[in-house]
Amino acid sequence: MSNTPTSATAIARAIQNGEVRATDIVTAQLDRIQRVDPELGAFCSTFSERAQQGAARLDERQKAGEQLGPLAGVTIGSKDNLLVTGEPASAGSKMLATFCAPFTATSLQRLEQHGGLLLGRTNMDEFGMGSTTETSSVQKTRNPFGHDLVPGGSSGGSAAAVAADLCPIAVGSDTGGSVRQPAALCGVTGLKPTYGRVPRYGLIAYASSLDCVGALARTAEDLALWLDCCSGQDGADATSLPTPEPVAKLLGERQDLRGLRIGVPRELNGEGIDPEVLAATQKAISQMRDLGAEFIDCALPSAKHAVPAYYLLATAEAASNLARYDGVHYGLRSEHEALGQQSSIDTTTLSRSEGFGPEVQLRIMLGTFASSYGYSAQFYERARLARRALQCEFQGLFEQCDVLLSPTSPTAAPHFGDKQDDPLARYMWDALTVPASLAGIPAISMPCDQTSDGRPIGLQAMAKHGNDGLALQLAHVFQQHSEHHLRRPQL
Amino acid sequence: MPKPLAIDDALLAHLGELARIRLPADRQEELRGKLQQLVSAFSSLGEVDFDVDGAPEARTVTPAELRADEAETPPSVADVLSNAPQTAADCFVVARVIEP
Repeated sequence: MSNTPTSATAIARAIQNGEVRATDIVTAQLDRIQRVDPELGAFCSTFSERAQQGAARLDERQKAGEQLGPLAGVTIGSKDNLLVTGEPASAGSKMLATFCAPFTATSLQRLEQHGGLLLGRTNMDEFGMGSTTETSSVQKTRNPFGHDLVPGGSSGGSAAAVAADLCPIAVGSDTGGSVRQPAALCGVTGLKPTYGRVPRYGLIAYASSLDCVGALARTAEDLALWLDCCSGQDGADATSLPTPEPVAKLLGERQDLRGLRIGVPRELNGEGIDPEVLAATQKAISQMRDLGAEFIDCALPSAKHAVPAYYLLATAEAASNLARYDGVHYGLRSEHEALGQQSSIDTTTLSRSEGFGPEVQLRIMLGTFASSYGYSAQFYERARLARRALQCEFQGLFEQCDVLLSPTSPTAAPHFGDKQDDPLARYMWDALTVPASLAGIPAISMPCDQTSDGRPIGLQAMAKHGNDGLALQLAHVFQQHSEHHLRRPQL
Repeated sequence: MPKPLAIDDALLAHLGELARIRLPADRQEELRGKLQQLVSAFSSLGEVDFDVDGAPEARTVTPAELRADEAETPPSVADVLSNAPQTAADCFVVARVIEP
């Protein structure tokens, strides 16, 4: 890989100019996966044949002088909850261990239409429920910056794949921080677009009012390229937004941060955050101030209710969405000997009891509780109010500020097994990412420093609904004046 | 301060029935402990006065335009059944619901 370009933008340009062949890129990436990934566990499986055939077609078209798409020859990892025709998609669950996708997700189909080459499926927490990728039933994924460290989650495989240079872009999904948090922990850049900007059709559902297809890459520039290729309305997703203005062209329009008002909400920049992470955030704020940004101290009082609100709403939606796994239509069907003998334990109950892992079962039970008769007024309805209050506060803040800043995660990457038996402590890890998810606004995580023992630290920038371009622009300017995003693990 | 809600045997059994999840006794106890911890912590939302009256409706789900009302080719029977764990005569085999 040493002589070939590694960023998506550079690869596409080199292929369009005939400087390198798409087939060589795919071969080099597959070789690297074969060498590096057995230890790392980022990919559950590769789509070698699909990628090689796609690359060969691109090379022929290039030779024939045809205009190639903006993602020509860019190899892309896709999270195991996004469907690709004829390939397995397990969402990290034993429940879907044998599932084979009958169609391709709209977001991935669009990437292929623009010349992207799907390289394989990346590991994840079961159904997106987790922040460390430890709940995957498929395999363990390690953080490239320390093999005893978690990669974050739930898009941990995608983050590890990009950090280890196994692919320049990996698609993920972000319900409460599942793209941004692993991006922070693995030292890469991750974008959760505005809710609805990228269609969800073909994404295995977790919590439909929060699920967003996002992506991870080394730079904001590559993420802008990705976003332009897969944004826009889709007839198969009634919540998808009309095709927006492209964002990649915006990146070149700004050389510094003059005129930009950046808010720093107190509730997301103080209590419960590791001192090293806070210090790194302050350092980044200082760098951005030097680049001309104006900083505003502000408050987001409802942020303290964001974790309860998020977990009550997300699990209530999950309990409903995951009801489809009944042991009949698709997914695991129990072969327990009690079947047919004991009428009180039916196929569905046994299949769900065997097929779902403990974290998914816990969340289904919590969501069932929160939305059930007798408790919904005290839990689900209160969570809806908390969400609304938070959305109103965000709207107010975006009248004073253009962007809001906070650390992405309260700590750098923890070790495997940390706080395993304490769900509340684990859920609190999401305290800085769930507010943007509840509000449906775009948010990006970018590397901004490292701890004294070398673990990456991420910085989160949130923008107004639909203003994904501004979040990307800020990250791009920051990356033009820093090198944190270029730091690579020793593998 | 209201008494925290207890996840007792009856409530846990009811939730398991609704969620169609049944676990062995040791796992059930572990689940109850975690559920109790979360429910107790999240009860705090009930004590907050969220003043959102009159606030503009925030956008979360913004439905796009409806698609044209045109018939589309449905997937084939083979496609629909391709991931079914058990089939017979082009149909899903469902759980028995009536006792013999």
